[in-house]
Amino acid sequence: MTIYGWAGKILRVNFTTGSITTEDTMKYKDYIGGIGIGYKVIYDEVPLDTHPYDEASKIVLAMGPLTGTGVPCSGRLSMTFLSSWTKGFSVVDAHMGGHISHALKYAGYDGIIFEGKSETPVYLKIDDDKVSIEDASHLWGKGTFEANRILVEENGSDFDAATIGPAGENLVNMSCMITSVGNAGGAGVGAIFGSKKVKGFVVRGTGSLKVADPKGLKEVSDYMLRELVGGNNNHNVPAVPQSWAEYSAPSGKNRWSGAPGRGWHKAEGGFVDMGEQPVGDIDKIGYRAHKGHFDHGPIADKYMVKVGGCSSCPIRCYAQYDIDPLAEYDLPTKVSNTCMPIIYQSAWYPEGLTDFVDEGDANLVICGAGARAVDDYGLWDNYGNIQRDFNYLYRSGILKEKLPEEEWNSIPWHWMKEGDPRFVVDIVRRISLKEGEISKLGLGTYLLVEEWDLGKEYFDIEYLQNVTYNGYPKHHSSEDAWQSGLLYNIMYNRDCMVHHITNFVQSGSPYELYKKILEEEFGEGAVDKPKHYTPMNRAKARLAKWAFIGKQWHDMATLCNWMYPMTLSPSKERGYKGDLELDAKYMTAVTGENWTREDVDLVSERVTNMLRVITAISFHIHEGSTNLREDHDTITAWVFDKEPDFEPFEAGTVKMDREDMEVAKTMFYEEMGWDVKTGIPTRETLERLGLGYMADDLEARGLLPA
Amino acid sequence: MLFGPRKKGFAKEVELTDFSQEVNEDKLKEEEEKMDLMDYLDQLDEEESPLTSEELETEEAVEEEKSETELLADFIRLRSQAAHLTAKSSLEKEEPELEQLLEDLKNDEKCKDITSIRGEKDIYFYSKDFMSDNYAMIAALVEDNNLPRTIAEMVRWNCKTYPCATPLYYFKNSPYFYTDAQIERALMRIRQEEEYSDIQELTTGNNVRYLYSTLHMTEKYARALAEGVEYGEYGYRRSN
Amino acid sequence: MSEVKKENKIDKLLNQEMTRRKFMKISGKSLAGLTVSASLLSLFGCTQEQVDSGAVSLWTTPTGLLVVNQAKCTGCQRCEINCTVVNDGMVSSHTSRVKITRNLMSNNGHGTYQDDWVYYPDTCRQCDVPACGEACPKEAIYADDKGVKHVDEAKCVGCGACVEACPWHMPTIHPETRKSTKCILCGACAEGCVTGALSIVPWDAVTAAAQPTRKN
Repeated sequence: MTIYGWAGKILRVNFTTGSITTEDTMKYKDYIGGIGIGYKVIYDEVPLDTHPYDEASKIVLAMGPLTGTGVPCSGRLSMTFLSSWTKGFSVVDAHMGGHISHALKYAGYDGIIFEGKSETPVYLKIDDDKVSIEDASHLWGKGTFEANRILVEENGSDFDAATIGPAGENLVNMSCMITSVGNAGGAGVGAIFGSKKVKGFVVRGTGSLKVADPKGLKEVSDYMLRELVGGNNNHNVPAVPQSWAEYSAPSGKNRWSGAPGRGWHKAEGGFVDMGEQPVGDIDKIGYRAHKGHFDHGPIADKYMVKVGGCSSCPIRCYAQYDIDPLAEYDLPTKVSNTCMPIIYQSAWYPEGLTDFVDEGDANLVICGAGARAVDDYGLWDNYGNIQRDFNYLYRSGILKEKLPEEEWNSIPWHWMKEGDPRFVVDIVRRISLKEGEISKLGLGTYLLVEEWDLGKEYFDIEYLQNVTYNGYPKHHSSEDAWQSGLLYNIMYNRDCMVHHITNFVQSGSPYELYKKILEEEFGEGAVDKPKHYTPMNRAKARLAKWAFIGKQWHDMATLCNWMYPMTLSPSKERGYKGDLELDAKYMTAVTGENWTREDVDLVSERVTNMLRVITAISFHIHEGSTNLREDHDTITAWVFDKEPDFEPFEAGTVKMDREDMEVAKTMFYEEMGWDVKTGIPTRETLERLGLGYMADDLEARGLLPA
Repeated sequence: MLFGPRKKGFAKEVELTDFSQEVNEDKLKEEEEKMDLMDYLDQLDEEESPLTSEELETEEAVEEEKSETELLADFIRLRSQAAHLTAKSSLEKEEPELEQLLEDLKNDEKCKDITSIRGEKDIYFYSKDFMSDNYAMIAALVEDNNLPRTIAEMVRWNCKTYPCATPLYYFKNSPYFYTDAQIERALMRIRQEEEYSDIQELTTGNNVRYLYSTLHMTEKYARALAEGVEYGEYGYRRSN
Repeated sequence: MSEVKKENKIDKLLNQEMTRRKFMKISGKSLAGLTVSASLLSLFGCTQEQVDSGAVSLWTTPTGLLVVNQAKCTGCQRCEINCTVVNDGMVSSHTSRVKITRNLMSNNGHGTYQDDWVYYPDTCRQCDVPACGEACPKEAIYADDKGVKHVDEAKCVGCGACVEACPWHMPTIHPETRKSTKCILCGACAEGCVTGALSIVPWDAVTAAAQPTRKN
């Protein structure tokens, strides 16, 4: 039987025994792909008391049926494993873009299960159906840029590569894997690979993926590109007025930032003007995202060569720079990134920065140096927590107390004070190589607090942005998405990475316009006015559930959650309404099965509940907890205590109200079908989702709600 | 400010080396020798004779000649597509029979997309197929070139429509492209004139100046919105 | 149709054919050292500087002038996706007749892993005297009435001589059908290029844009 969408096989490689086998993907079909397969394999095969760096620990790398089929914005993969750094040491996933997910699927695989432990450094070579474990001793210790380059040169220019850096090799908890220069999968996956002595993998895929209805797929793709897709984060109006557009985002802080007169000054053959990008013009969509300008303002244009991004995606969210002022410091000048590395490095300089060549370029140059360093060392920043921990501990004097005097004196503080880009590189090296006490920053916030005895109140410091007491920060939370945002922020074992709500709130569209569209879907009161939220209601609970389970869908399918769902559209003719049936339409065209939005929701809910059940079991094992509401979903104090000049619900604040948030949790658990007292899924819910075996497990452990 | 004068005391001074203005014989020679692509193609030997007219016999329909009104509509469309309004005064210079032509245009079924907006100084035509009404409003304000009015109108409109406060740097972008000096001069008049008394200014924590209209929002709310934009998800980044 | 209009139409087509013949003389050759008029630049979607730097290549094809601008290629691979979904009903990088992936990671010291972002889609040139066709032992590669070269699958034995003979290795032996497959100028790649790095400019547009630069 021909399989459509899925490649058909999952590769299983045991690095202890050297065994390489494949198995039928279809046995995981109920879980679709990506993290769905990830949660299932981890739950089935890895006892949840396993230490993440033990031989029994596994990494499940997987794609879904839409990746590699040409569905726009599908160039992603997920890696699922046990966390080494958060309270409860439960399941987490990392998500990686670039081009390698397509290559893997063309090679014939929907995923790879990495298990066991090698004695010596190795890498995995996948050349279609020829799979081998190769020596990587010449790569061990090398940065990801060099390692990826060498791997492609050694194996052939039609291979792609992904590797960990020294941080992963040295078992630094805060570590990632890098492909395509700067596309990272984080959450500590680097050290799990490092513990297995696996530097990375290379792939060449010369096969093809079968699509059930290619004509239909092309039609749905073209329809999305002509009518639905917006800019970066699917913002549906341009940042700067464009002649065809009714609206623009006056602040300009919107991610459809390509505009007339803006562009890439370092492009080959001179300036490329990004111009206007009208709805319907497919050949201009690639100029909508100008992340450089969004991040750093007009100065970015001076150093930009191009934009880049993942396979299949028309929204090129990577800014690719040649920042030549860095050459003065003998640092690499080529930088390609879109996320925290290119935004958030100035936090390593608590005493401020000085401009280099032009007014306002300090942040860009420092971020360039820092981005290159963290990506090369494979250091993950936990959505900025590592920088914030450093910054706060330095400013409060705690860092000086904790570091031995000799080590303190060995740190080039003068570089920090002078705003020298070499400072960030030096600190990143120390953490990645586990050099000295300062490298404890690489433990992650949760274990650092324990290690340095910083006390639970450390999490309550507003600057540090921790959303729970579990070790990770907020990621577009109540400041964009009121109670709904805060709810899904506390559901995971890492920062939430949910963009459903922030994408329309920050879209630049008029409030009344998107409110109407969303309220048609979720009911009156679902959407609050910017910076003026109202008490919790049922519609917001439904909205939160949509976003929460929808994010899992994207990491199962595997689609980019920065782009999907297509909630809004830039098209006036459509009344700016997107198409929430789109994912189901793609599933139908690709797989040949009849998918509806309800079908998508059902599998999303199934996999979401697996996350919750696994979390409950981990918290029971490691914390002795029988109640996630109290022990996992606890919100830090600053969220309620900030902005002393405001009362909750007043115009101009997103300061939350404690009682109201408890109401919110209760409503949300009810929507999810979870016990309101413990926040753990009920048997009824699990049975409905085909997870009766998980209910049995919870019951056996005494965790199943009565 | 990308190409503005550098402040004193910056970490690095760069010497600008620009030979383009200098008389350079080699360069002149090079310019002389550079040939136009089409001339160059003509000069190359013909490889084969082109197809004969018989080979090109075709039954495809030939486009009908266009009427004067349609040509005018096409002209307006082309300009709209390039983000330009078409001022009535500019048409008057070239069209002696403009009023009649415009009357015909209004009644022509094929030209229903052509519409106009009245500015302070002129009437501006555009095609709704290529230009939105809101952009035409902005473009007309820009054409009228009354900066205090443009700034005040847009601050009010943004406050009412989105709602949001408007940063001064908004007016440095397309299609305004105002300079800092122009903006400051306009602000001076806005502060002085009664008709603009609802326009107020605030400064965010990273020193970015915003305008809002008291007709549509309070200072406290405007500040919260502006701070929300500047602080964003990750903290202050730029300070232009 | 009136005689006059018919005459006009034929004149127009003759002019287009003359334009095509002219461009054929420089197909694939560097334009460096030539100036290109503003109207043609705007049609090609490039600047004179890009022409001078060699970032832009022009290829003469039966249906139009194929313009490849590597300064604008951002490596999204949608050209390959669209090529295969339209022509094969499945998706593949390897089989695609437009080829970006092989240049994306590493190409002669350039590419993603070589610390620059110089990459571009390779395209079939539809050569007047095609090396692929000349090399085919079964004469399976033929030109249609517009001059587009096709593979006759009934004749093709999948020997790969065409792949080897093509200086740019553009034909590909499809791993599943074991037949050669090559570009038939369907245009799906260019239509779906999200940055306009790849475009096919029809001959009537090139002809019209070339007019104002004529001296007479």
